[in-house]
Amino acid sequence: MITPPSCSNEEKERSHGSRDVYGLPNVGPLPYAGFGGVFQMVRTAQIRNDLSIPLFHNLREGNWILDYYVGRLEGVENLKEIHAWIKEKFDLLKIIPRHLIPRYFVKIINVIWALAETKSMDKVPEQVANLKVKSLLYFIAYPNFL
Amino acid sequence: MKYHSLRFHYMPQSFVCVLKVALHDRQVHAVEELEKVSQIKPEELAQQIASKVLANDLNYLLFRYFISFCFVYLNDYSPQLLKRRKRAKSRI
Repeated sequence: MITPPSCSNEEKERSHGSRDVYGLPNVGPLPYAGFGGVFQMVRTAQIRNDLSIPLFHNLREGNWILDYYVGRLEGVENLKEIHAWIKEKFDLLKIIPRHLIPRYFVKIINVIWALAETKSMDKVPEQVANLKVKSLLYFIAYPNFL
Repeated sequence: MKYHSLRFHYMPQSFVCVLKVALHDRQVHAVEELEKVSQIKPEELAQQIASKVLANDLNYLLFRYFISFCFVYLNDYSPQLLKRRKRAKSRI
């Protein structure tokens, strides 16, 4: 698997040095600054039915990752509505008992991913969609063709 | 919320412990709201909140700001390459 270059620098530059890629204790920085950074972990945990991964420990201990994602989307013009939706759901997560947070965090991440997948497949030209190329990475690598 | 400590000195294998935890109304409401998340259809949600979203925005939401990376194996499926292959075949 080819590892993409770290997006730490661009996050720092965009946030004027106030924000970096989220780092999990004992694991290190996530591969991506966006929700893709945790998606692989979440999917693996779902398949294995494993609630003991470091991400879930981090979620039970504090709201840092929730605040990180909400703060990251703040001020992005085209993502205003998505930001409001995610903020509303993450605010609910902060109220519920801490042991329940991973369960609902996973549900929210899955909805966000499905939303992005639906939206991206809408933008993929018909001839490409016919190739059954369902990879998001394909679309992301060639945004100019949409 | 009240917490009570439970101490077990001996527990047979068939022992089943059911704990009922009383939650605050606010918490119950929050859990009910979050339970509804899994019933959301992505197509409907996309229409509601992602109508203005562009490809770059989706990239930022999921991955990163700059679209500066490209996976090598994806080159095999690039639209330009597919066009070239089509042309090449038609010539033959």
